Amino acid sequence: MKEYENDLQYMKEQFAGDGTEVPESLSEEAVFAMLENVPQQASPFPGEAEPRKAGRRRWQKPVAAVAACACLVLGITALHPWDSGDDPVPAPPATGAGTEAAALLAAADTDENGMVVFGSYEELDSLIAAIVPEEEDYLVYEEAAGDAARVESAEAPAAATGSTGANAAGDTGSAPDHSSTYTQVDGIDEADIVKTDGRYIYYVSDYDNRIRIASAKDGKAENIASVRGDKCGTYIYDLYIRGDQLVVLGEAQESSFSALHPFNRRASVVTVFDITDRSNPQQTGQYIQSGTILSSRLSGSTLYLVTNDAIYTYEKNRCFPGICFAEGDWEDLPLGDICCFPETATPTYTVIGTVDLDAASISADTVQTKAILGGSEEVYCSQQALYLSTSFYPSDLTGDTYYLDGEDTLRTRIVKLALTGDAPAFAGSAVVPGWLNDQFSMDDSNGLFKAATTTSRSGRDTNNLFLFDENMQALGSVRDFAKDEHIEAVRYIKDKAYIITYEQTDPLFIIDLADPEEPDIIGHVKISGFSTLLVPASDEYLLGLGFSTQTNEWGEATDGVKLALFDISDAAQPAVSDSKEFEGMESEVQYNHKALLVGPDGDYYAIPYEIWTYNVRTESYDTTDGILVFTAKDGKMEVLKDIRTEDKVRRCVYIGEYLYGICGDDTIEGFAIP
Amino acid sequence: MSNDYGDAMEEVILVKKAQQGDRRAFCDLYSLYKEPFYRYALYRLGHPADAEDAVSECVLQLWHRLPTLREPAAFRTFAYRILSACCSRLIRTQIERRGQDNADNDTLAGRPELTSTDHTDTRLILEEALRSLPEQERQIVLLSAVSGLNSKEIADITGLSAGGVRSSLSRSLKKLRQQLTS
Repeated sequence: MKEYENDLQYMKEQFAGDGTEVPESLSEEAVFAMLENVPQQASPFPGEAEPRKAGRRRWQKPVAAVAACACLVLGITALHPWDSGDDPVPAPPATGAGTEAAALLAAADTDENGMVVFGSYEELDSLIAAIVPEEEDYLVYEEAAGDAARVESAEAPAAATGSTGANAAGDTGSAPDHSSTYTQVDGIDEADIVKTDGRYIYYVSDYDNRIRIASAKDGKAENIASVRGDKCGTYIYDLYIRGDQLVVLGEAQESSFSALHPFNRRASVVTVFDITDRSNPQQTGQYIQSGTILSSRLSGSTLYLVTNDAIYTYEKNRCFPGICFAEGDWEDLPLGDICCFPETATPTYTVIGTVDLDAASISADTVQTKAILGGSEEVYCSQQALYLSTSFYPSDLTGDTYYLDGEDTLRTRIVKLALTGDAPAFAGSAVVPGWLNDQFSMDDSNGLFKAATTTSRSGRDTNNLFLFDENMQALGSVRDFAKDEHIEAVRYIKDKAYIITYEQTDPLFIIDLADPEEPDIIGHVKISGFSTLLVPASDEYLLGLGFSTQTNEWGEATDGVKLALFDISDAAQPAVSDSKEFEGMESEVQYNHKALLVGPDGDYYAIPYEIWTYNVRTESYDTTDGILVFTAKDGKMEVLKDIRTEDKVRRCVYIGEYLYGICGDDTIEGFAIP
Repeated sequence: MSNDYGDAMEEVILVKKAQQGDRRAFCDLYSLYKEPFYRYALYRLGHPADAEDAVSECVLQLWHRLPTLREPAAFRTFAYRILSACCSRLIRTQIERRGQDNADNDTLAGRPELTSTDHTDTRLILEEALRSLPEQERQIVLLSAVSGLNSKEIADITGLSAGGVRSSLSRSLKKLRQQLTS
């Protein structure tokens, strides 16, 4: 389930109901008349009346460029050649962008991991020139970048609000027991919009583009300081807290960082603050790398930032990934730190920055950056390694079809970067058929790398699990289970994989990984609705959070939040021991695991929610906002507390016996639990 | 946009006929896309007359180039790539019309003034909300919520990765929804 499914549905409805009417001049009849005497381009595939036969994978004629997406827009600027008796638009040249890129990649060197490497910047530049789409529309008309201010240097004090008098360093003594962001892997932190250290709550303001710091005690929270967004890029994304360090991740748009990016690209910014005095954060360093944030992780003292750096417009020798620091100039990455996925033609770099937060200063000596040409989609990080995935069609280079005789050829390449050395280093990669649902589809515990994918064959979905060793060499697999369903949730626990698929029967599958050469589905249980997040509640029980569904005349549709508790004590006979449905409810936890709060020792779980009801009178939606607190013990779930709030709750945290809801209007409400 | 296998097959047949020069089949095909084409152009250009120009231009290019489309099933991406380029060219023309002296940084500042005779109230509200997004994010939202393209198709048209499209959409849609419901 895509994380924005709810919002997308809402926007679709808004647009569909906007009262737009297509004018008469664009009716079918008007178009019919418009096209009279307008010639069509000659087909480059004469005589191909038969459907393509099995086995014939490429066109026989070298006019491949014709269907290459990039080349379709060649000649668009040659307006209306038919209305002045001119010759029709000439057929594009035989070697279009797609085939040129394929040729360049085929001729390039590869390293021991199978990644394409470049002998010179010219070589990389030629490849970029070949794959950036010909149309130059995107940024040519963007506002001319003014003289934007450079990011200020280290001493800039942050704007403080609220009581700022006394040094707010917090009490001596240890902080009370508190929650942390719900993450995929223990010990690997993931950035989020809200964090707490047991004395303060740190959060990204929803409407004010700043980070706020609130002191929290005995159920009450008070904003005491803030850091402005424009000190951390243009737009704050999320943050980490490490002791007395606040690490802010932001994104910069061209116009404000044009002094750094004279060539129209996005950049991501890591800003580190010393918050020993909580009321007065002091910037201690800043690192900027090209691209928009895909994901990040914090492992020990090392921050990994992964960005996608898209090239929209080709400019000679200006399309390399780069970095800079609070002081100093923009630098292109050295050639030795750039490689390329061998099969992709996406003009986007994945940039991986490694920042040592314990270093005395953030500089080129303490930060390492690598880039891969070909953007990434999912990031999975364990103690041992960082994995990046990217999906592609083998035919991407030529803009060819997505289907090969009815078989969807979408594949995913997963690249492993080992984290055990001084810097992340490539340690192998693998290609699997199909696509990954999300980061939870991957896992590398017990020396085995696992990836669960959904593939599509002849228009029907089917699902698989693949196992690899530490060198990304294939071991065993389970193929083609749950036909006509796709994966919605995966969790790997010890030597088993737990997978939820949807739609129609929506079962939970348990796959035994004890023998990596022969993994096996050993048990499954059907349940209506589907989970998008699986949480180990105990050794015997698995908690599923997700969607309830109902079937109407249009088919199956989601209609609320569903909680399910699976008894997995006997893997061959899993059972649903309890479930609860909440109709009309939506919760961010349905598509973002970080929205889940696990109470102390798993005593309770809490999720923020909204209930949308259509108000016929006002012709818009009313919302009811709140926090659902529930327990899952001994096979049963109980609602402990249903808290209603004034405003939408973005996240919940707990400190001691208090649960705090951080709301969209920058207020924090505290509630005693139980 | 149809998810139904039967509808998809029907569209493929229309594309193939149109590729052979069947104008009526092309118009039947066009009728499936007419509304999202116009709506997409309207939100990108802001002015009904410009949107009409963009869609007319697109239709002509589409008819002319259709025989070069190798795979009829990829018609949708093919069509929106052309429409997107037609809109982009017109945007540049709009800006040239207005000169380079935009005082504020709003990329829509070069657009004609919106009047209530041009637009319904809902459209004005949606326009306003869309203004809060940078041009590329706006384009991605429109391709998704108006045109019904998936992230892979949008990635093909914009040159981003599918993952980049999804993260952009996630942020933009959330922002829009919050603005529209507050």
